[in-house]
Amino acid sequence: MTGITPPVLGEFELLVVLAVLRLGEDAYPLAVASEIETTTGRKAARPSVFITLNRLEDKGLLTSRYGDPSEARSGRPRRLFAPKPIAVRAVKAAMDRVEALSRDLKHIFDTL
Amino acid sequence: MSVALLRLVLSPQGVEAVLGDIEEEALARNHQASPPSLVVRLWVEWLTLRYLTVCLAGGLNESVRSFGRIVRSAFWSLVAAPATSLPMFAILTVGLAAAIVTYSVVDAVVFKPLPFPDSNQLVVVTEHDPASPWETASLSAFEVRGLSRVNAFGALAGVHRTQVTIDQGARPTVVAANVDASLFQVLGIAPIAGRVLTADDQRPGHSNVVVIGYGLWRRLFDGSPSAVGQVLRIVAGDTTMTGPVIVGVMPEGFAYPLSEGRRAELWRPFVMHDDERDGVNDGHYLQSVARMRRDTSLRLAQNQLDAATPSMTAPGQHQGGVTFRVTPLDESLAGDVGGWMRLAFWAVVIMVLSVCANVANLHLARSTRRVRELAIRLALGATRRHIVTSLLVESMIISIAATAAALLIALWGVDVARAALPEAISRADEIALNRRVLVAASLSAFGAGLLAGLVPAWLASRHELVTKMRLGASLTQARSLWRSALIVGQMALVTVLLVSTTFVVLSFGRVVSADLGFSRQNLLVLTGQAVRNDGIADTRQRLRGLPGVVSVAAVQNGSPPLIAAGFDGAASGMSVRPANSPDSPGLVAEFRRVSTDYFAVAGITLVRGHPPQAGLGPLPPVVIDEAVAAALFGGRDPVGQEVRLDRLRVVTGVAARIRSNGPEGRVPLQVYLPLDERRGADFVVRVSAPVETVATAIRRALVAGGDDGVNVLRILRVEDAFRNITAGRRLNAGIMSFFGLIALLVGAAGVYGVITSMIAQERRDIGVRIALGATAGRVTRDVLSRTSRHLAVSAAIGIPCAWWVTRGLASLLFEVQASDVSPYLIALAIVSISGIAAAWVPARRASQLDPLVALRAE
Repeated sequence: MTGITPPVLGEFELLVVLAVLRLGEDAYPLAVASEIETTTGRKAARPSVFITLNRLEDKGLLTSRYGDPSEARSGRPRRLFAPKPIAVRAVKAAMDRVEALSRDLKHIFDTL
Repeated sequence: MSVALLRLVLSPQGVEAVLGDIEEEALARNHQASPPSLVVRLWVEWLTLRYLTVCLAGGLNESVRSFGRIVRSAFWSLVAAPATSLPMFAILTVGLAAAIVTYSVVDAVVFKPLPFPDSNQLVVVTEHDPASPWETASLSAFEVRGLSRVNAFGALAGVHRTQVTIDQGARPTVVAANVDASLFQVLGIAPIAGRVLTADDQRPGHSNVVVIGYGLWRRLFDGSPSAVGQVLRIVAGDTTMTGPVIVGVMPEGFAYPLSEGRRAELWRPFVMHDDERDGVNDGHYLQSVARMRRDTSLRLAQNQLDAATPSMTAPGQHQGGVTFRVTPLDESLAGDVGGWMRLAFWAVVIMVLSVCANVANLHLARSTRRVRELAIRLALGATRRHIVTSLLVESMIISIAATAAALLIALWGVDVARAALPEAISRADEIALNRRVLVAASLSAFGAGLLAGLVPAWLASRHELVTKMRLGASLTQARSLWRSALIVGQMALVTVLLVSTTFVVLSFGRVVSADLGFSRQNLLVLTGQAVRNDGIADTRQRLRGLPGVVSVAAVQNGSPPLIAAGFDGAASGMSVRPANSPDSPGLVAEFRRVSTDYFAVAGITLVRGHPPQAGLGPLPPVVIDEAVAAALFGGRDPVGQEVRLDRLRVVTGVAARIRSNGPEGRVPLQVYLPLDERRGADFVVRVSAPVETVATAIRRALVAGGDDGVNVLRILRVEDAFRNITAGRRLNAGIMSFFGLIALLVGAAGVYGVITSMIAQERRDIGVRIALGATAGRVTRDVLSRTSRHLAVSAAIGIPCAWWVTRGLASLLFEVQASDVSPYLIALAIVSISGIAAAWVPARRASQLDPLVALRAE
């Protein structure tokens, strides 16, 4: 598929987009942060997640909408993020780059 | 605080979502919902700061690049639409130029601190004697000594302004001051060469020293350090006396006293005579300036002064009633002009606000026409921030360009203002486009850009724009509301300004037409050696024969009315007592010796009796004015009664009261004595021909050998004296009228713009109505009635504001009460007529719309 070249993702951006992809309909900042923490074991600061989500939206990779107000949040809505197709391509490209570079290094990783 | 910070960077819904996240996490961690704990609040703040940091620093390079793009595109978009950008530029330029010139004047005269260290501690002390016919601002040497003992004053100095002609080079006459040596300590300024005066210099026999100013030092000695120690030669009458010795040179910019036109450049020690020290000589001719101690307030100083007053006046002089008043030096220098200047300043602020409202309206009109472009930009992914930024940048570009143009105009305007200001305004020579003015101009440019651009930018960036475009809905409703609000606000401001202007102009009109008790038109006063040295009869004879001269009268012991207040003439006072109680304090009245035709020439009505003529009876005669007559004789006829002045005199006539100090000055009591034919006199001349022609003839007739030295013969127009007295009021009436006119024109242009734009948006509706049979008159009436509604609302807002503003004007009004209704009616009439007139043109145009054309265009 041809089209606009997807932007290059930084490491944390990649994690955030992957978390959004995994969460599907339910990707809001708090959930994204927990998803990263529980899945990777890496600490994900809420502000960093929030800022990264905003930046990805500015870059045109994500869209956001406000969900229904919920009781647990004193009637406040969630801001739900969803990936655009270009985000999927950006993730794919980022992972391909990692894969390409790490392909010949398998023997090193195997020693660990 | 933290939420407020969040609101700066996020939309309202975004803020809610973040707060929801915080609540949810707080609940998950602590099983406890709001109120948010301290940790959570910190988290929000941290988040906000982090977000701002990322916005500002992380994307700085990108931001700069994108901002450059925005500026470029905004600039070209303005260039591409000169029909709207040029009027905005022109209106802002005019408004800002007027504002900059006004601010530079007000700043120099009122706002800027005096050029002395800690100048807020400098005060002047003035004397007020209710029994005196004059505003006795001057003090006697005895009183100055008493004042210097008041503890609140760290140092106090008496100053007497005078003039000195130096016999060197072009024999310049410079303004000098005889001062107490403490003056330099009071002002806190050190010399750049030599020393200042010391107390030792004030001792008789040691006082032949002088300190000169920087300008004089440059002119006479070319800035040479060897000037100190040199001897000045000073012209005194016909002889040149050698001495004094120059002991010091003051730095550039130093001058005191600061008031009254030209500044002092030479300071001599003031030497007190023995009879002044004892209080026997009660001559009041000193000004005082003092530095208050650091721990003293104005109120404390005044209290101490009040307590010390009884011991301050010389024994036997001014019994009771005399008070001393402490006034900050800057306030005293600005005087009445300070009030006028502040008024002008606020007038210009109102005018600039009105101009900003107008430009905002033009921006709105522009963005209404650009709605399609903005909607497309939003649809293509432009964020709200981009749209707001780009529209604000457009507004800023116009306001910066207008400020630059306004500064160019102000370069010329400041010169004009300096020349137009009355000479008596202190510090007028400091008016310049200096750094303070430039800072103020830049701030006003920024403020004007922001004020004019904010509402249009906010409206244009609303997301529903795209939706509405898609639905084909009306985009103009919100804008129309805002445009109406802006025009209403603008016309309300214009109303406030016009009401104030009407008050000021009406007061000025009353001042000019006030009955002074004599006729000032075509009246000349001749003074100087040329008229004083020759015999009175001889001079009178020569003057009477001149073409254009109608009548001539002589006057001694004081200048004719208005001359002392308008120029620099003198007045003499005399006590008037009833004949039978010679020891009573009596009344203090101005007195003049006048020829018998003085009343006829000056146009002063003799209510009763005849002019004072010596040698007609056993007692010398006197003419008193109505107030003296009422005070001494009540209802009795004063003619033929005796009064005690310098001696016992008989009243031969009663003259009407005259306002010899102008319409607003004190009205002194007057007595008139017969002329002393043996002494020289000044002359009052009533002319019929143009003053310039007569003045030339008079000079030719009186000055022998073509000597045109100013001191030989001064020909003064009483009308000029009147103009000098009313200069401040005249200037302010002029300034206020100018601002009022600009605001009115800009306001009318605003009304025109709004109505034109509204009609353009409603072309289709109007077309349909005309097609259905609406007459031209009906359409015009509808448009005009809508304008009237705007004007009515603006009046409803403007009139109460104007009422509030004019309460502060009360002290500046003359024979007009702040509660008078007529200025409001006049202002309302002007605003309504101009508003309706401005709407008339587009209304007529709408009524002549061809329905076919209007509908086809849709």
